[in-house]
Amino acid sequence: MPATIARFVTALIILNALFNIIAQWPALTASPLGVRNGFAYTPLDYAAERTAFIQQRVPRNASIGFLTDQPPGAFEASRAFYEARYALAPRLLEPFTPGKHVWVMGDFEQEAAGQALAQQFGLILISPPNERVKLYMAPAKTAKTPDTDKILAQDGLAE
Amino acid sequence: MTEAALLGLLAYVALPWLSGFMTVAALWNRRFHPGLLVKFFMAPGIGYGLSSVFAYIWFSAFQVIRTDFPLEDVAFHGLLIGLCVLYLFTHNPPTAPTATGSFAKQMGWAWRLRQLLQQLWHSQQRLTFVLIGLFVLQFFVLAIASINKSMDAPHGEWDAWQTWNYRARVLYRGGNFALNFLPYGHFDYPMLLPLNVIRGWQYMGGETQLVPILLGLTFLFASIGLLFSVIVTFNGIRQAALAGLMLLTTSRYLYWGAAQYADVPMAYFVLCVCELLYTLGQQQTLIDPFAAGRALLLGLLLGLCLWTKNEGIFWLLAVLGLLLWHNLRQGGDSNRDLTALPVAHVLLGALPILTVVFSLKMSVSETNDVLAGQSFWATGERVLSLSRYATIYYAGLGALTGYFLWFFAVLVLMSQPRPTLLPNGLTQRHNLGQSRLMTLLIMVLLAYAFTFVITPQPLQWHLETSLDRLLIHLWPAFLFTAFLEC
Repeated sequence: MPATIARFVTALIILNALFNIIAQWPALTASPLGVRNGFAYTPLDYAAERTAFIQQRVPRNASIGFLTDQPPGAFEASRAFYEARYALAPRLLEPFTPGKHVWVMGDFEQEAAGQALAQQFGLILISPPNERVKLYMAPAKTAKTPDTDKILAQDGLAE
Repeated sequence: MTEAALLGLLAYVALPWLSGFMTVAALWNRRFHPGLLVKFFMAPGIGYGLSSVFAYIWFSAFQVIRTDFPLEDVAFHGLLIGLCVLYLFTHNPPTAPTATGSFAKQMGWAWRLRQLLQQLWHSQQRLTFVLIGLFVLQFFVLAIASINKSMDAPHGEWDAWQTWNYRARVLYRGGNFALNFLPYGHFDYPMLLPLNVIRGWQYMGGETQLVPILLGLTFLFASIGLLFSVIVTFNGIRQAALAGLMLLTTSRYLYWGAAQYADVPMAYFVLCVCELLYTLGQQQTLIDPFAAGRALLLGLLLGLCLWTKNEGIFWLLAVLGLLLWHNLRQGGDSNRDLTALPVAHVLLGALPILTVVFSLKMSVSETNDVLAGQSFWATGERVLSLSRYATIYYAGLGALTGYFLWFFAVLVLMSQPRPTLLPNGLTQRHNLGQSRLMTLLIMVLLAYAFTFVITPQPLQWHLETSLDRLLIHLWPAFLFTAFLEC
């Protein structure tokens, strides 16, 4: 009896291995040696593209506040936040706190909602309009750093 | 890829592998060595582990990610290899007592090769060849599938990019290693993986996803190779092929390995720990003058478990507890001093890495989310809630039936009496080692379950996102333990 059980389990392992090999086979014959050519384009690469202008503009040691029109705790908002945080490293992306952040990244599904939020916190738009991802600066009154006035003046946005 | 980057990649992979190999060779005395293959597959873990510890100490001392680090890293590995070579040349294996000599002979290459050939010839040859052939084929098929999976998600899956690769990016791009400036992002988590990713980028001269992919796949393939080679050593090639096939057809294991999660490296270190613990168990029936080196190695590996994931603390405490308990049971034994030896050496081996982990925890302002959510009343309430135990039990059962169906087959196999394939003298030691390992696995499993009991996170969510990954830590070690006897 014990030998029969051992044989049965061994047969199961063999059959399962065969099934696995057969199931994987079509995918393996798609390219030489079965290995795909190059890395896939992922949402993280897309996030890096969307935030490229922020990476060019914001100093590497800065903290950036994240603002969204999505409801708090929404999965999409959370995902967008973490993807942007990964793309913008080493800049630290944090949920936006008025008075703390000079730089603010907005990720708005609704243009109007984004404008309303920016107006509510008195944010000044730095990036080109009509993009989903936006870069703002908090006015010097709420969060002043030596750079703020200079950068706003460059853009002709100083008060 | 430029020639310089290719050369850098080669050095990044080969140097730690070589220094790890030499470290195992020096600490695991040649007379008792576990075989070339076992040492080969243990090497990358130890090499990458020591590299990351060196990187942490070096970067912490200068508070920056040094651009010259590859040169310093090469010097570190050169020094380590030199020391090991010197040790091996100056410490020839002494003439062993008869029993030790006999065991050493049994563990030697010639004996093992003869055993292997005898098994192939006298046992059911066709079955053995079929199993070996299937194992090799399955290995290559799944190696390619894992590489493709890695290419599909070059940044890794959620936890990999969000925790491990993110930290590597922040530190590498920022160049700053003053960790206390980082407000959040799990910077209190152990640094073995992020620091090795940073090392790779420095060796290659720039950020490329090839490095974390390679690191993840190295641990994945090394763990499969290690499981196969240790079972070949202790219980023959057919059992090794069976255990290997079980691991190779555990899709969840391959998935997390290719997804660059830290759980497969953790499972790899746990397997190394179990193997070392098992061989230390052999000294209970044989006087082993070389246990100290292996105990140091065991300590080092336990430290590396903790340097890979916070769960490593459970393994460290469980192994120390097990060894102490075993020593206490031997209280009246005349060999007490000998059996007490490993505990001190295990601690000594773990000490450098424990110091580094302690330094990391002290330098980061962030507190662990599970620990931060504990208070006397809240924890007490969770501990006394019976429904939480039921939820954990059913989730565990669901994970086992969903992802680890082989677990039940192994249990059936283990319940069967078996004639040993090895000489009679080894059977008793195997039983001792196996029961010790099984106790260890059960202790850690209970500790993991208790973490879920007291977690401040929503229980169902916590179970769904981490239970199968925690079971993966135990899976290769469980197969190893089971196939010592099956």
